[in-house]
Amino acid sequence: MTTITSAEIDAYVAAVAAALTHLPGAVQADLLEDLPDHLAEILGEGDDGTLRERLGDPATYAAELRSAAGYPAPGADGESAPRLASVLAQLRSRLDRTDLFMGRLLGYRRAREAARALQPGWWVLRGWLVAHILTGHFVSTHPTGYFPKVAGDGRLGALLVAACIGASVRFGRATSRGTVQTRTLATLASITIAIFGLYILNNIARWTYYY
Amino acid sequence: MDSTQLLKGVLDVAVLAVLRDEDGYGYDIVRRLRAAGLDEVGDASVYGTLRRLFQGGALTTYVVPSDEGPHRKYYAINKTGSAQLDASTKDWGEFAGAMDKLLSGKVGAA
Repeated sequence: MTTITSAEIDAYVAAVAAALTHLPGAVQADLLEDLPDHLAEILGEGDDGTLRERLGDPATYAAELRSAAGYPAPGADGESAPRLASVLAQLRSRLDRTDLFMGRLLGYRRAREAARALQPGWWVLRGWLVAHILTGHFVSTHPTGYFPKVAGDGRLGALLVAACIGASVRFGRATSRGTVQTRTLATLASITIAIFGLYILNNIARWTYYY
Repeated sequence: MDSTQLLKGVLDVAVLAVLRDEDGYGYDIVRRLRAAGLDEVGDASVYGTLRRLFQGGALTTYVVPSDEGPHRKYYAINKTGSAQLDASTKDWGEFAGAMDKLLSGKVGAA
């Protein structure tokens, strides 16, 4: 057996290994296992030419070896990006399943459809709440009844409620056909009113307790 | 036609066929493939394919010690590999037959 320039083999192996560092250690070891013997065989042939001339550039060799063995290229599987994407995908599927489950509980295909069907009901409730807000009946110093009074007058109060409900329904119809921005603003307004609603309900509860 | 592209799809089968004849070590297998006419086959592709076939359970390995030279790692085909080769041979036959028909202009016949 002819003497082999092991320095040249080591250098080539090191260069190939450098191109495989994105792979797990066990995989790298597996791919590099046959390489020194392979290189020794080539040099043993005694042909002219260096390993690079015979086999090509080590990085190219590494890429071909990796690809034939069925492993991904560097950067093809970044660690953090797929993890975030898979978390988001899991979240989305969980939301979807909840949507279907809650929907079926309510007798609809999806909870979203139930919400849309109940939306006009919310508009009416919203109008009633706005009437209370306008007459300042979310403040706890004035416990109030189910219908707000305008300047002490019950009938005016009833009129106000009717007007607010009408306005709320119109507003609801208009915004539900609007742009995303419009709908978002409307939703935010509704949420604010709903929060006030909690205070109003609290007030009414105290009123019913006292009267 | 670029034969390297054609070869990528069938190198597994070619390697299994070579090993069915006789066990071989890496470089020996490369030489046999080239001798059979696949002179474009790359060393790295053969070694990578050997690793993949081994990891897939189609090949076994054993080391042959030697006093004068290096110990050589030999690859051998096992039952799984044989079954894979048989199935692939059948597939290849059908595929090659279809391509021959197309290229000789005999398309259309049922």
